[in-house]
Amino acid sequence: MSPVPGAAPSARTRELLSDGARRSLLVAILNGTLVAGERLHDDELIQWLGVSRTPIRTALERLAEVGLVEMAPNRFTRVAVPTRSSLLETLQLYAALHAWVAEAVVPGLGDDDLAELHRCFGRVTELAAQQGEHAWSRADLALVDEAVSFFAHRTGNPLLLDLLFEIRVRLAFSFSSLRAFGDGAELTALAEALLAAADRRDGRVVADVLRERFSWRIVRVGGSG
Amino acid sequence: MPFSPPAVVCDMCILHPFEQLGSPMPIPSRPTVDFHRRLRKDEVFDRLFQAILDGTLQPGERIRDVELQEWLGVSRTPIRLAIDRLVEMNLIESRPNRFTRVSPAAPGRIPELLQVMCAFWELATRLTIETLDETSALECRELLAEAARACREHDGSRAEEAVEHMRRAMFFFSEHSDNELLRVLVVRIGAALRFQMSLQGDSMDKLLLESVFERLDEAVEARDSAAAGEAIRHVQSTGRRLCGVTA
Repeated sequence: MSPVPGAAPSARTRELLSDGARRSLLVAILNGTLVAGERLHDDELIQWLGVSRTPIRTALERLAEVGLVEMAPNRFTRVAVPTRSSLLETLQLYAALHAWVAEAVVPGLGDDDLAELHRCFGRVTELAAQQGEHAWSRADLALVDEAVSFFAHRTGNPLLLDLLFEIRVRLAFSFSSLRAFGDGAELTALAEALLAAADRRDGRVVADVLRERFSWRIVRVGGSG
Repeated sequence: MPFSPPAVVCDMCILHPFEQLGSPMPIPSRPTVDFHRRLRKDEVFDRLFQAILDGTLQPGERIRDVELQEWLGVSRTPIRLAIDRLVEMNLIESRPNRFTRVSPAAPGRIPELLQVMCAFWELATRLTIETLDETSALECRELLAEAARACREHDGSRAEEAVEHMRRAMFFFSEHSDNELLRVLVVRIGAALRFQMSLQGDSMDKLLLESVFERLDEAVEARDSAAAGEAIRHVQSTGRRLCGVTA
């Protein structure tokens, strides 16, 4: 493991220490400094993160709860190994949350909002058109996520946004570990159906489109590059 | 912080507290060597969790590690781990370099929590209702009936019990789903909602809540996930009135 800059400890309370440790671990997992399956050894972590065992354990437990770290008691602790099925599980939850809030938000969309929605999904369609079989970059995933998150950003629900951040992290990690990407044809169909329903201000159909299409059909793994 | 050993909590703490204290933690298979260490930090968690939910520890009350260590007879680590889980559930809040305390009542958060939980429940019912076997369906319907009854008979003294019945009924669906992440999040965010709702006490709309459970019961009987979805939409749209949020 290589040290992550900016993780320098200082005289803080234990609460901040475990938060700092968690953030450092999260960053390292996301940017590839720590890879899927990589063992996490207490002593190395203590040295790298500059905090004691307890805040590290706290940080690891939190990451384990959302499936980014696996803790096998008396054996090893390691960065999680995403599988296709764990990815689909995350996607299912992701879709359900976005669909639920879309249903509430769509009926009230103004013309400007709708134009913005068209722009966002227009970018998705462009990505889909170029889409071959190569694994998505973080920017690619971010582009699609930006479009889907259109509705969540208009709910004014900070709890929802925090939760979606966490889920997005898990999704990003799974995508990069599995070299996943979205199926071009499915993405295009999703964008078309979603925009058509949004134009009619039909929240229910927008939600159904999201729920049905963010599934095993739309995700492929083992891309090239 | 007035910390007389709470006899009620101690009585409830027997070796397998999970079911009794009603916190549905997934019970992973772990080697026996680790049994005691695991149990201690979970026991600490359970006791703190219960103490917060039943009012032994009051909203806003300060929490000091050392006092907890004395009360529960454990070292700092399990206390810290338990507190951290409770912070994540928003049952405890922690200001760096200042105090740690039980979360205060924050009724404004209820609609936010409810929106997220409704999305989870919609998914959970959609994933499970149609494939429930006879036994599970019966179990589910019993839980729903109990929840409806608890709402009907709730006399306003403490919302805790009614909310607990509701929790069990709703958790049934996520627990029977295949989605591990869903289960984890329902527990975590459900705890925060449950806590805030139990502080609302008498202002919950009991008749409305009762009707929701009756509708869910009908949906399970008919194995109709669309009907369950409609019931949950109703929860969402009447959310504020349901939970007695006037703010």
